[in-house]
Amino acid sequence: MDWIEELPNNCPPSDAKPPDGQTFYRLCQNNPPEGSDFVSLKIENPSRTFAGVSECQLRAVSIWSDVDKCASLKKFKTLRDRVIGSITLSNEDGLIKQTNGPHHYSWWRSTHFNPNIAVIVEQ
Amino acid sequence: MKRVLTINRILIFNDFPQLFLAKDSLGVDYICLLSDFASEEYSYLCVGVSKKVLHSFLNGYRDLRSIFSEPEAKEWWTTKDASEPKILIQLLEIEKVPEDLLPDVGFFFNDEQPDELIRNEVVEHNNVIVHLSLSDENENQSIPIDDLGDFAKLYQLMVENTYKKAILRSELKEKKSFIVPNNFTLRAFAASPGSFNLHLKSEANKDLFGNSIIEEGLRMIDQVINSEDNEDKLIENLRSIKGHAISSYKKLLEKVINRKVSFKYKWVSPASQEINKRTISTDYATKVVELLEKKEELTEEIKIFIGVIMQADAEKGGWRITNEEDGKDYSGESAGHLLEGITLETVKYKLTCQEVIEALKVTEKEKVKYVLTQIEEVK
Repeated sequence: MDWIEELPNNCPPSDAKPPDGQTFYRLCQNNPPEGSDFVSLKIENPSRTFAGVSECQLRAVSIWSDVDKCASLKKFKTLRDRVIGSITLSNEDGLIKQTNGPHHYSWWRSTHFNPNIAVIVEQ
Repeated sequence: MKRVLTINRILIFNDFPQLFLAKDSLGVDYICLLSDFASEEYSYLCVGVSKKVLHSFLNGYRDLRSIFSEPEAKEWWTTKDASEPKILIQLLEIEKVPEDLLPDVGFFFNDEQPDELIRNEVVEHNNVIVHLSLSDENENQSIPIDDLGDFAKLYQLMVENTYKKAILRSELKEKKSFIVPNNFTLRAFAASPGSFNLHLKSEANKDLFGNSIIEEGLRMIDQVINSEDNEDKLIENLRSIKGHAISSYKKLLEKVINRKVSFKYKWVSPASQEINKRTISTDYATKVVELLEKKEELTEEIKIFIGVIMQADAEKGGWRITNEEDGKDYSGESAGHLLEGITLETVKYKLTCQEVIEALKVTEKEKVKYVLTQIEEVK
């Protein structure tokens, strides 16, 4: 699979799975969403790190399986201006893994994903 | 004024940690919220919280905003670097927190939280918590102490065996370094009524998201103990823990049947809000034991030794080999007359053995026996 950004060795992890047509929600900056809404924060600043969070996870895109959980994050100051985009991911769009809680997924995005499929469901 | 905190657990992650817990050197908890995030730098706003407030927040009863707008200590702290586990926070010289740093009203960490007790224990001990629950036919809220000891020991044995199996199958590097008692041993710290509930905690290694390595074994147990009616599927699940893990599971099932007890457990880890529960009723145990008796090979664990045989008694079947792999001596017994005609001390052999862990009482250590089933010369 061709990844949208360079990933470290052993990334995605071996237990990451194809999305299998599931729908996810993502906090996007742009309305309508653009390609830049679906990349990791490492693209913006590769040197940014957080203790205990692997480079692999920081190279993933956060998506949510539950729209309400995703929407609840808009109560945070840093995410207040985001809009919620709904995306249905095919197996060619990358690999996903449930991480850090029941509704949060890390998505390692492939070059196949088309940002134009994103639909804004909540502003 | 500055303080050093140790990052303890990431609560909310969205591309980057949004909310995390940390502790100071006196054990006081802090909750830190991402308050600024620019391309070049970021900062978190932190406040100290009592255990009561923290439990209340984590159980979904307390709004995040109130924790930051009205902190118990009226002190607000900030940090601009969380790249290392120990972070330096600086006191903000403010009387009131600016509105633009506060989250909106209505952020509850979790709004659908039964099982409050086990969740509080997870916060308190910051590792996996397991509740074992035992009830007899009459739903007595007590249990003979021998039964309690036996069930606890058998469950612990199953956790140990499935944990080892999960680690050996994983893609971890230096797997053996993870197979240490601290990672699979559970410690009892409380009991509660209902049925009889024994509260256990793990002290296994964990990451900052709160994923504890013992979960590898616990998940494998969950996978095996399911309500699968399809016999083929059930066998497939059982086969996934073939060997000692199945052997210990079978002993647990037999205990459920013999003592006419319903055995339940639930566990939760700091990383997940999900409560994992399973029940073994006497009916379920009977069904699985009958299946295991038809498929005896599932309980077999095969061990292979390669080396020179130092001692052998063809008549009585005893033998001792120095195993090349670890340089240790192993001894055992032999089925049939497999040892006849072998050469001692100079010829290398491969011994294929069945490894049997003998039945144990609560206070005894497990006793491993090797039964030779096949021998061949290695050239």
